[in-house]
Amino acid sequence: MVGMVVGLWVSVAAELALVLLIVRRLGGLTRLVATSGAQDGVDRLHGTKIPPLRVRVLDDNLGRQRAQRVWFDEGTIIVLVRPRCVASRRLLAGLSQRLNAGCKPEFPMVVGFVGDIQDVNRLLGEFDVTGFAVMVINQGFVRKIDDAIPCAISLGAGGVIQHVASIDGDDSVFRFAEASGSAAVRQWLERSMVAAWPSTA
Amino acid sequence: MMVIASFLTAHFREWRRDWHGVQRSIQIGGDAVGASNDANDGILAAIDFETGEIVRSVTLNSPSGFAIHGDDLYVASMYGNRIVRLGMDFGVRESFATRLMNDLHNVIADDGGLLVACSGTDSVIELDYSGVQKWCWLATQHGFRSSASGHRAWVDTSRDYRASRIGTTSQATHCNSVRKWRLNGRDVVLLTLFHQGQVIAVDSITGRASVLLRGMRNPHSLRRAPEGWIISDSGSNAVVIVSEDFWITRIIEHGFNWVQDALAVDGGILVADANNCRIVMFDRDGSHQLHEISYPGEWKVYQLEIASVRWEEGIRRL
Repeated sequence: MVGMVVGLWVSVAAELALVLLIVRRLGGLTRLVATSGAQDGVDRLHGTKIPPLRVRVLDDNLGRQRAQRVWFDEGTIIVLVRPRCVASRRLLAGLSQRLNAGCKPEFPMVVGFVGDIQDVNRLLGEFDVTGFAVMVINQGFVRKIDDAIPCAISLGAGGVIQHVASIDGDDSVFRFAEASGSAAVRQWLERSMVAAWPSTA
Repeated sequence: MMVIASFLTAHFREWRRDWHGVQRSIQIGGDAVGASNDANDGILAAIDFETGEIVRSVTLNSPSGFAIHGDDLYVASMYGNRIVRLGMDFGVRESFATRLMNDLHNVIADDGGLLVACSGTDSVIELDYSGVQKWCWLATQHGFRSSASGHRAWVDTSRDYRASRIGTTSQATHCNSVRKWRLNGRDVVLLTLFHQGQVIAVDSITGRASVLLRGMRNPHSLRRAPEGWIISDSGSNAVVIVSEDFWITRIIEHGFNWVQDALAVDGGILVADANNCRIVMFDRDGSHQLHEISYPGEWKVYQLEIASVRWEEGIRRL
């Protein structure tokens, strides 16, 4: 009887060890896949719900900031950029030119800055995105999307991420608009391009 | 003004089949210049920038980065996996290689010795002038553990990599440009990472890496500029100028097609516009083109340097 119990325990322990080994191997494979590219990494976020973002709202007066938790409406486009990033700067230059050409978007848009607050303020001193800029401070969310920044996120109902992609120039911005399926975004990109760079019309 | 330029190959059509891939055959251990297949036949040339005339040239195995120190010119052989020392007459004096040398991209020379970026082994090595390794940093031992293709990347320091074939996608960073610097009171090595699109600072003592600049596509060539640094953002077809503290001040784009190298020179910025087969001079702002010379389409440029007066005289005389 004792022998049977011991045998059973040994058998259960062996099977458990085997299951653990398989789980660890699968985990390892997942990690390898996850690191195979920034876009692959953010693809996993499609269909997930964005958390309420803890942000500092960056007012017109750059010195004043207030921390708050924000929820986003359906149809919101969140653009995430960071200082000391060439692609972010290129993106921000284009965005700032569009917004200051008297062509405001007709959909909710937020430009979320990630990084050191002094650097963010320095960057905001160079590019005017007044009324759209927030400083994203929940590190958990930033970590998930870190490699893909600069990126854009389009939100569906209930804060579900419909589409997320790295963007670093006009080509990728237009590709994002196509992929997100938002006619409002596409139309704004076309209108604002004509307004900001009349020679392209 | 005399420009010394390295061209990785003079047979780019044949060579590009393996561009940033794996070369079909590496020959190693033979003489310094003889052991190379035709596609790896590259050129080191001294060019009169006003006329475009090639004043002196030599055929070498895939010459990539090079550095001048005194009367010597040290050339990294990308696929020969060795450093070749030349004189002012471009004659080969000697060559040497250490075990981590693989897919060499950049060499820096100062009074202390040579600093070499070995892309194949994702490492930076420092050598004295007799070829003895003094210092080494491996990206794979400092957090860069995954190759561009998603596999585990690891470099074993006891292994000899000189005869190995390590494709670009099998490398964790493809680190390709290196500079010594002092940052916040600490000695660091600055490094461009091709796959990550970053410039990082590696602490010389701890080996810890911190990101100074990111968001580039396949960057190369980190160089000093009067206002700070100049970086070739090759894949984005741009030259990036940053301040001393790596704050981006300008992004220069002029219809370039793969900026392989860019350097600040007296009165302007010299750009190696690789796929347009031209070397272009812009004004200091990078807004107006001042002059350009072209070279054969089969040549693949890698690095440019301005010859000092002494070197120019030596090259013309010998």
